[in-house]
Amino acid sequence: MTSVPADVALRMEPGRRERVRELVRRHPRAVFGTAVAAVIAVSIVAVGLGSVGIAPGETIGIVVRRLVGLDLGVTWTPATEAIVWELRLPRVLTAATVGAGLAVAGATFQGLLRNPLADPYVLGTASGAGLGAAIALVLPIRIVFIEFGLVHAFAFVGALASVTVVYRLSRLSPWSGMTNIVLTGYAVGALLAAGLSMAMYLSGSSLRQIFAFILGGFEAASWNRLALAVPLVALGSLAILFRARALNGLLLGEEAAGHLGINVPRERALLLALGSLVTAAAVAVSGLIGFVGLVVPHVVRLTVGPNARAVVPLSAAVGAALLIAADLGARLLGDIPVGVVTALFGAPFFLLLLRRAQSGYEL
Amino acid sequence: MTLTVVLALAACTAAAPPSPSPSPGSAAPFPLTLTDDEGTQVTIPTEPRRIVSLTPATTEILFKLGVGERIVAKVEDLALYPPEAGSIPDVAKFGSVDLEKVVALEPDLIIAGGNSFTPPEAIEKLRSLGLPTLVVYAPTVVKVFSDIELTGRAVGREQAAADLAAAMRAEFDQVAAATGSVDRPRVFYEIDATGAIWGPADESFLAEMISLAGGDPITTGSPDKFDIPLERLIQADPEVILLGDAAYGVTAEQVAARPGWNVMTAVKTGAIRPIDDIVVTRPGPRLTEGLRALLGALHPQLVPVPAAP
Amino acid sequence: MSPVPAIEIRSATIGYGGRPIVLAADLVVAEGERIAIVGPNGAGKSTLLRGIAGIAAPLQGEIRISGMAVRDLSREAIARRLAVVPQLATLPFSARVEEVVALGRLAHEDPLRGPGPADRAAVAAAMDRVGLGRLMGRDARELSLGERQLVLVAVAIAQASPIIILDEPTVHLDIRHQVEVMDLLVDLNVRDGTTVLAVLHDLNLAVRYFPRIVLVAGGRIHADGIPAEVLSASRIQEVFGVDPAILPMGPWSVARPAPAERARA
Repeated sequence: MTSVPADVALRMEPGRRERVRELVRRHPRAVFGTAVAAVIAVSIVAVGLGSVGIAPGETIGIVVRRLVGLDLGVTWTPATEAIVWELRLPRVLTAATVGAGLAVAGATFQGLLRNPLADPYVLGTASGAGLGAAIALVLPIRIVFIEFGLVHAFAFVGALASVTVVYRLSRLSPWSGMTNIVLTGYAVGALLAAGLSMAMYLSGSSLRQIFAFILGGFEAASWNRLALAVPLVALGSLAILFRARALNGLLLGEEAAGHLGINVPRERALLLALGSLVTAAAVAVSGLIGFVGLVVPHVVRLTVGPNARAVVPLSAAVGAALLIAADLGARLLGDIPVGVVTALFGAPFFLLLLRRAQSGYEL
Repeated sequence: MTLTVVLALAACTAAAPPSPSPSPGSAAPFPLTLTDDEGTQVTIPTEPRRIVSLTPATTEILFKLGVGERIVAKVEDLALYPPEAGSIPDVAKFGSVDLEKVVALEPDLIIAGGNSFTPPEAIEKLRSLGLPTLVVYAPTVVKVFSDIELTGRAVGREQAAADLAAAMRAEFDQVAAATGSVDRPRVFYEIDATGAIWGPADESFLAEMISLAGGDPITTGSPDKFDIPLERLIQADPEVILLGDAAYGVTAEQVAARPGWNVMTAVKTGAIRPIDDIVVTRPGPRLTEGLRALLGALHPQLVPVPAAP
Repeated sequence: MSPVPAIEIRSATIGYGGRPIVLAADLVVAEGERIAIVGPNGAGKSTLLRGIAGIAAPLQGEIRISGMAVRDLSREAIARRLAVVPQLATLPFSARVEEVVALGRLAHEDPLRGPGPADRAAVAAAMDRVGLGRLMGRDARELSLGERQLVLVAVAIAQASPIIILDEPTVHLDIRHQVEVMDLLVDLNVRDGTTVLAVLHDLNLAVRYFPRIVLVAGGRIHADGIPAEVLSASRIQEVFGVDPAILPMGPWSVARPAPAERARA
C-alpha cells in the first residue's frame, strides 16, 4: 500500500481542486443547500417540459395559482392546467420522493451492512415487491385491484414481508457482522424471483403490466399516491437521520460500535426496519428502479465523507434531483423506462468518478 | 360559437319532417350513461365530437359509422385501415399512451382497449381527469357485435350501429348454415413460428372464428397457453395450415421445409394457405371479410356471391 | 486509593450461547492501575475483555465497573467509563483520520446535532497525544498497520474514559510502533491516571511495561501479581509449554528518544 511520505506531503501545495474539495468537505450544510436548490431547479425544468409544448409563463402561472392562489395575469386552457397540475407535477414530485427514498435507504443499508455494494433491494425487497405486484395482477379480480391501486399495496406488503422473512431466517447474533443476513437476503430474493418468473409465465395478458412494474416508472403518479408515499418516505428518512450516530458508530464494526456507546442490536433492528419501510414505500409507488440507491450514497460520500449526518440528507437531495432528471430524460426520449435511463447515464458516470478520485477510491 | 351553430342546426332538424329511420328510440339522448365491457358506468355528457380511439378496431368502427372525421387522435395502427385514418395523429401505441397529448386535445370521449391493451393506469388517469373513457373488449364474436352497438350508442349513431351489427350477424348466420353439415377439416392457424409455435388458445377468438368457418381448430390445450409444442401439433395432424404470419413473409415452401413438419397431412397435400391475419382477428366491421377469407381457405366451394357492403 | 474498584469481577463465568469459556474468574482492578493480561491462545483473554465491556453477559457471577453492574448499564454509560481498543478494524468506506478519531466522541456528542467544540477539541488533543498530527486529512485506509493501531488508540483517548482496555494492540506492529504504543499507555496511566488493561501476547512487553500481570489459562485466572512471580520459569513452562530463559533486565540498551520528543503536531 503506497502512502505519501510525510515530508513530501507537507511540501505539496494544495492545488485548486484540492482546495475546492476541502471546502466542500468542511461545509456539508452549504453543499446540502446547493443540492436542494438543484432539486428545485430540476423540478421546475421537468414540470415545464413534456410531449406537449407549454409556455413557461403558463406553467408558472398555473403552479402559482394552485399553490398560493395568486393570479399572475396569464391565461391558459383547462387542458393545459390538467397537464401541468394533474400529469406533470405529481409525476415530478413522485420522482423526487422515490429518488430521495431509494438513496437514503441505500445509504442506510450500506452503513448498516458495512457493505459498499449494498442497495435498497439487498434483503429481497425487490423480488418481494415484484411478486406482490405480480400476484395482484394475475388474480382474476385484478381489474378491481388496479382501479383501487391495490397493486401498489400488494407490492408494499410483498417488500416488507420478504424483509421480515429474511430477518427471521438469518438468526443474527447481536454483536457479529451482518453477512448472514445479506446471504439470506440473496437466497430468499432468488426464491421470490423464481416465484415471480412463475407468475409471469402464468400471467397471460398481464405479462406486459408486470414487466412494466418491474422496469419501474412514474406513469401511475397521482396526488393520492403521493399523499401516501411522501409521509412514509419523509418520516422514515428523518427517523434514519436521527439515528445517524449509530450509523457512524458502525463504521468500525459491530463490536467497536458497541464499545463506542451504541446499542447495536437495537439500532440494527431499527435501521433495518426504517430502511425497509422507506424502500417498500418507494417501490410500491414506482416499481423497481435500480442504481439510484447504490450509487448516490457513494457519490455523496466522495464529496462530504462518510459522516451519516451529512450523507443521509445529501443523498436524499441528490437522489431526488437525479430521478427527476432521469424521468424527464425518459419522457423526452420517447417514454422509455426510467430504470434504463438511470443505468445508462449513471453507470458510466460512476465509473468515471471512480477513476478520477484521488488515490483510487476503493469501494 | 360552435355551440350556437349546433343549437341552430338542432332547431332546424327539429322543425324538419321526421327522418325515415324506422326504429323509434333512434335519437340517443345525451347525457348518456353506458356500462362498458369492464362493467364501469361511463357518463357521456354530450354527443362526442372529439373522439380519441385507442384501439385499431374502434377506429375502423367509427369510420364505418360515419363519424371518422370526429376522431382527433388514435392509437398507432401498423395495418392502417381505412386509409383516411392516416391523417389522424397517433397518441398511443400498444402498451403506452401519451397522456399529455390526449389531454391537450380536449377530447369528449375516449374509447380504450380492455384486457390491458390500453394500460389500466392510463385509463384510470384519464377518468380521474374527468374524461369519459369507455373500455371495449371482445373475446368472442358475439361481443364484437355488441361492441359495435355500444360504440354506436356512445357516439350518437345507435341506428347505424344496430344496422351494421345486424348485417354482420346475418352473414355469420348464413355461413353457419352453410357449414352446418360439411366435413370439418383439422385446421392449424399459425400465428407465428419463428421461435416457439404460436397458435390459437382453447376457447379463443381465433378458435371460434375457425369453427364458425367450418373448421376444427387445433388449439394449444389451455385457455392461458398460447404456444403449442411441435409434438402436439404433429400428433394433432392438421389437414389445413393457415398462415396468419403470411404478412411477415412466411410461405408455404418454408413451412414444408421445416424439419418434422412434413409428416403432417396439410404439408403432404400442400394445403398451406396464407390468410390476412388482420381481418380474421380484428374485432371490427371487417370481421365478416375475415370469416369469408377463412371460408374460402377451408371450403372454397361454399363461398357465396360477394355480399353487398 | 479510591475505595470503589475500577473493575471488579466476582466468580464470573463468561461464555457464548451457554458455552462457558472463562470459569469462575475473580479480578479486582483499582483505579489508576496498569495491568497486562497474558496467556496462551484460546485461554479466554478476549472473552474476559468482552465480559468487562458488557458484550458477553456473565452466565454466573458479577462484573462491575466503577461499582455498577455492567448488565445494568446502557451502552452509552459503559462507553463513558470504558474505552476498548480493538486489534484492528476495517473500514467499509474511506474516511479521514480525524473522522475516525471523532468516532471516539459518540458517547459524548449531542445525538442529534453531532460534535460540538468540546468534541472537536478532544479529537485534536487525542491526535496530538498519539502523535498523529501529521496524518490529519489522510485517508485512514491508506495508513500502515502501525499508524492504524495508533489511530484506534487515539479513538479511545478521544473517548476520555477513565478505563482503557486494549485487545492485543501490538500483534501487527514492528518494534518501533510496539514501543510507541507501550510508551503511550504508560504516559496515559502515569500522567492522566487512566486505568489501563492490556491483553498482550508478547511476554517481554508485558514484563517491561506493566507492574501487574494476570495470567489466564484454560479459562481460569492462573496467577495475578508482580511479573517476577507470575511469569516465573516454572509457571511459563506449565502454562505455555516452553522452557524459557529468564534474563535479568537492566536499563534499555537500545537508544530511543524520550516520549516528549516524538510528539509532532
